[in-house]
Amino acid sequence: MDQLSDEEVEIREEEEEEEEDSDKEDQDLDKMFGAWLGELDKLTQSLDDGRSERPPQEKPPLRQETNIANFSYRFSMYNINEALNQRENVDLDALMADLCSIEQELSTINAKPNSSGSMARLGITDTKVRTIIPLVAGSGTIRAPAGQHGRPALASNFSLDDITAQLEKRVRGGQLEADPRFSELWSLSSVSSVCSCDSHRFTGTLSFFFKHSYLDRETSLILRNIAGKPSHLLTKEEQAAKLKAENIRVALEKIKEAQVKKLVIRVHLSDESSKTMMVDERQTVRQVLDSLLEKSHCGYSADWSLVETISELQMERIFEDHENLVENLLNWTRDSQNRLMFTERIEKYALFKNPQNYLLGRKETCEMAERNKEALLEECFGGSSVSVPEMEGVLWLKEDGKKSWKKRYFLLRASGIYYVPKGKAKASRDLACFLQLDHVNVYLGQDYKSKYKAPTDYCMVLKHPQIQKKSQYIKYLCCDDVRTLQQWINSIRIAKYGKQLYINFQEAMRRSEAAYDWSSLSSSSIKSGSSSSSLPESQSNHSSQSDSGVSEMTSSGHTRSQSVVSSIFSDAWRRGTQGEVRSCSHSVFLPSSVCLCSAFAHVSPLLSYQ
Amino acid sequence: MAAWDLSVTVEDLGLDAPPVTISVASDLHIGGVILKLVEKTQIKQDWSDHALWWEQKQRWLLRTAWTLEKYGIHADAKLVFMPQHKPLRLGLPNGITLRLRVCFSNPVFQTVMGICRMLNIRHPEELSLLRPMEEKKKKKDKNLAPEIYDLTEVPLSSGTLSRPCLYNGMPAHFADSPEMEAIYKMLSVTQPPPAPEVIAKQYRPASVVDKAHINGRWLDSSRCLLQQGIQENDKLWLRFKYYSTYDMDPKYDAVRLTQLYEQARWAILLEDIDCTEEEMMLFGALQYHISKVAQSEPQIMSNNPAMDDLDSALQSLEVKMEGEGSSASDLLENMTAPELTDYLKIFRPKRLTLKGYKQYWFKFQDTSISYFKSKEESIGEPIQMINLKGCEVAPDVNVAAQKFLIRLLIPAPEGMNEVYLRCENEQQYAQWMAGCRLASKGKTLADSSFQSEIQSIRSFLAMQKTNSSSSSANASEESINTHSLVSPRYHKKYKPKQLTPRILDAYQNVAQLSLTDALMRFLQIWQALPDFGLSYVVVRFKGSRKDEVLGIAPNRLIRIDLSVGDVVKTWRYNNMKQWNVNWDIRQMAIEFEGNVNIAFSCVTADCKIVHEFIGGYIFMSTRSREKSETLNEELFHKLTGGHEAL
Repeated sequence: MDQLSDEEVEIREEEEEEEEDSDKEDQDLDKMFGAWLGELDKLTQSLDDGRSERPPQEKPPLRQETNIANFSYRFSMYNINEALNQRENVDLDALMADLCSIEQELSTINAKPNSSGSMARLGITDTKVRTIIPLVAGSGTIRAPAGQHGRPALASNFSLDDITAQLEKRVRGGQLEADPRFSELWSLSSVSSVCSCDSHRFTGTLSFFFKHSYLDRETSLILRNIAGKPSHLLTKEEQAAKLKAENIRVALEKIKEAQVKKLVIRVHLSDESSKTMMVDERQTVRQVLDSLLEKSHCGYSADWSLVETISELQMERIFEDHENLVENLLNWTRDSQNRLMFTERIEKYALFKNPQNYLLGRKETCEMAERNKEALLEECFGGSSVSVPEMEGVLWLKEDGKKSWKKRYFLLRASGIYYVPKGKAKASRDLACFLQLDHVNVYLGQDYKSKYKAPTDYCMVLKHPQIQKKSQYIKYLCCDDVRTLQQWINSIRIAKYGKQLYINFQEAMRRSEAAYDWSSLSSSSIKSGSSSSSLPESQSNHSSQSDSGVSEMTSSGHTRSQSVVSSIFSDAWRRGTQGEVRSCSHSVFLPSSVCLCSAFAHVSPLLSYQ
Repeated sequence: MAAWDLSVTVEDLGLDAPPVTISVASDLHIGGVILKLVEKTQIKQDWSDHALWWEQKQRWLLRTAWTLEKYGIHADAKLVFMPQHKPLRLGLPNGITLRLRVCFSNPVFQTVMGICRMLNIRHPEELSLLRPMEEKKKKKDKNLAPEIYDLTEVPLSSGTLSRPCLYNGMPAHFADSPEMEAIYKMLSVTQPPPAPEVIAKQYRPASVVDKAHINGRWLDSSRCLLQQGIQENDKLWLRFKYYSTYDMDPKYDAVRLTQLYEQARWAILLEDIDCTEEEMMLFGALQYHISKVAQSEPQIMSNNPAMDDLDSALQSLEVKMEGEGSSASDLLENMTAPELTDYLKIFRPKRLTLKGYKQYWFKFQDTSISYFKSKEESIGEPIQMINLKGCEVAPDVNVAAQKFLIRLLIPAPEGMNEVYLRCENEQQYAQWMAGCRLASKGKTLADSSFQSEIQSIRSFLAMQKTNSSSSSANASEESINTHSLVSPRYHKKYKPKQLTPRILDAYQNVAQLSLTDALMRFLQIWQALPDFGLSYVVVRFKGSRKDEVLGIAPNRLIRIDLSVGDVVKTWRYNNMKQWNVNWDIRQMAIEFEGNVNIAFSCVTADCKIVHEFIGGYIFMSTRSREKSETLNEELFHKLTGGHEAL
């Protein structure tokens, strides 16, 4: 994997001879895959040699079938193709390294079950999995999809029947009977391969599914009977069956590991360059970010983000750290112009760096002491339920199918976004539900003033992540200024993700602190360095309390009780020790010891009397 | 020292009996007085709980070592000799009334601790006692007085144990007899939904001011019951007062969780807290689900907390082993990909508006539906395959009209595709609907929840059936009037028939929750309401001429303008420096950081109540870091005490 970082991405400047050149690149690609797959082929054959002595054995028809040994490997031909067209010298070597690591993974998994005799049969599965690849390579027709320049789609290039037939031959030839004691467990009944070419998805997706039965009727019956029985009541036979099942379970999990989908993605950097890397379907955005950071040697900061830009709709979204990257990318269409950007975005965690600007529902930006920020965050995210910031106000809503915008009074609640219907008051029960947040994500709209005649360029969009084209199901909202926009976007994120957001932030900070410790920088300086107010209108820094009304006065104006107890108390207070908790009949001071153990951080002014 | 006569009324002799007169000297200590008194009455009984109450001064004489002189008692003092623990009728959040013996001599804070210990409620600091609403005298009380469950026989535990010893999942005193067990079950299991008429009859606060009046009824935590005019057998309500639930663990908090849920449920049904229609439907769905699950698995709930440590460890070990075994076999079963196949009708409003429903052969596999012209052609390529992952599923059902529609909103790059599937009958509908719901969450038919999903859909259909057929005449236990699940406002707005599909709609998202999870979800949604945790008091800000409302929340104070109903100002405890109470003019003054000072007098509640609310919330916030099991009672009184704290 590390090889990626060592590769320099070369960008050729000339744009001529596009067709010819990219064809050449194609051949290179073919060659590389060919070489790699050839390797696999050899490996497989050596395995086959050792096993093909026994004749294949037909087993009774299956009852339990499934695609356990489904090995599917996806990669985005579009992205590679695009890279080729842009005549970048894609770091295919790095890619090869990734592919090889998959191969290695497979072989270790293969080796492990073998080591414990009873699982030897699992080797079969893996062997079969491997055989696929040479077959595909044999057909030698991997081509870039029809994404650009009218290239034929990958899927169309080989005949499904051919592959199936070959596969069947190969697999049957290579089949072997494992440990005779357990031989009844394993039977290969049918091999079917499916080349799934979902038209909405990447064309380069190759998936092969094998169907196996791996438990005989007898064992599964026993298992069914004993389900729920306490272990000590089982007969020997039953226990054996249970053990069997357990072993199988362990083995299956390993197989599942091996079935993880991989996706080759192209990540664009802010300097117009790009990187190609392989991600597996289990990786979270955080993990991908970590590996990108490791490879790109850029300074570690929590602000590094993966941003999805949907150019067709002119919108973008910062992926949250806990999200699954592959899942999100699979929403793109095959000819998508969408991009994945790797870039620093202060707005990603501005919410946590200056929570006072987002959580207090204030109209103006202000500063806050660090410990008060922490207390505020703890208060909002530390409890059992997260309170959604009270966001409400007039926003512009784009009318369906028109380029006109209407004003409405919107409110955010934990259960969704609401608006006040015409002629109604703001009471909760009269609110109309605009949308619920379970199925939609919030995007930042770009340049909608010219695209949709929006009143301002501060727009947000709510849509289902799968929607990629213009649709009535996309909702466009426009704010008067950027601060309102950021407040709304962040509040919606809180409503949608809750505590997870805060966990993400803490995790990101932990990593960045660790990174800075390593580079012998003080972590505190980084913290404060990045904590400057991120909202553009931070100059309006006046105290929010000045407008608070008649009842508020300065401390000189307020009267204290004149009772005797009062003086006793204040004397006691002056004499008292700093840490002691004190209160009295008429006054309760928040003493420092309370502060220390609570969220109420503050300075008690009276302490200075001592 | 000269002896003089002290007359003491001994309650045990009867109300009309003349006071007992004993001869005492001023240097006699209280213990001696009691001794003499007991000798004089010549009654042999356990007097250990008895103490002297000084009526004129409204105080207990609990320090037995103090002399009469030290207490300042002279011959004119009217003393009463009576037990410190007396029966009290206690209304619980779930509407049940208990009769139990509580302490009349200690501060209410400790009385509540005692009650909670008896009822097995942890964190008693969150609860307090409330004077009930005056019940309007109805015409000669036709309906019988509500049943009162007697707990007065429970021995008083003097121990300071934070947790009582449990036997069979309940405090030992509940395990004594079947009757007691039944009472414990009532405390720890949610009540069935109330009849709509019951909800409609209850008092509902119509405005913020009405709500504010309720908060004037809280008892003072730092004084005892007798000092606050509470007499033997009076009725009080036990309620959660501070909305900052700490360390809720369903394993140990069966009663606490149930009662908190009941309080939340009633707050919503009576519109004590406002919510939107969508939220109300979700609350309704959760209530329905909770009552259904509570009826079917009440044992699990009451038994869970019962296990001793060893017991629970053993049991969980066993469960774990079983779980692993079954997960293996589950996994194996997963391997056979189950599928649904049947003739259904499909309608795609966008494309074929005129054609209406067309029949095809449908196949449900994994998370996808595919359809074919006929069963015979189902081996080949389907006409279309629809992956339901991430789609929205909504029911459109009318049992009476035999309409069973599944409405699917399927995301695609071009937008959402609307598809209707029409099923022939309930059975078919339940299966396919269950499949669609699981698939929308990315689960296949092989998922273990498939069968229970079918069950829950069918039971909900059954509910609609009983609703639509002959009114509520045949109200069996199974059927619930959906009007029982929402506030009276929606009784007027919707008929049960209209309400059912809406609740059903919300129900599909919660149908899989376990009882505990459903309770917790209910509480979470309640806690996420914007107005959650606000206790209102009508106040008059210094310098202002009109009444305004102060809302006290777990983390902030808000000021509400009565004429507009809007929040005009928020102050957070975070910024609070100190607060003072001027007891003479009954005014509170609070100082915040940045030289912000506010002062107000309280109109609908005593300023002690407001003071206690604020101090109480500060106290609640100190708990989280301390992690200790014992309650820092001293700190509570310091923060909330007032006069008596010194």
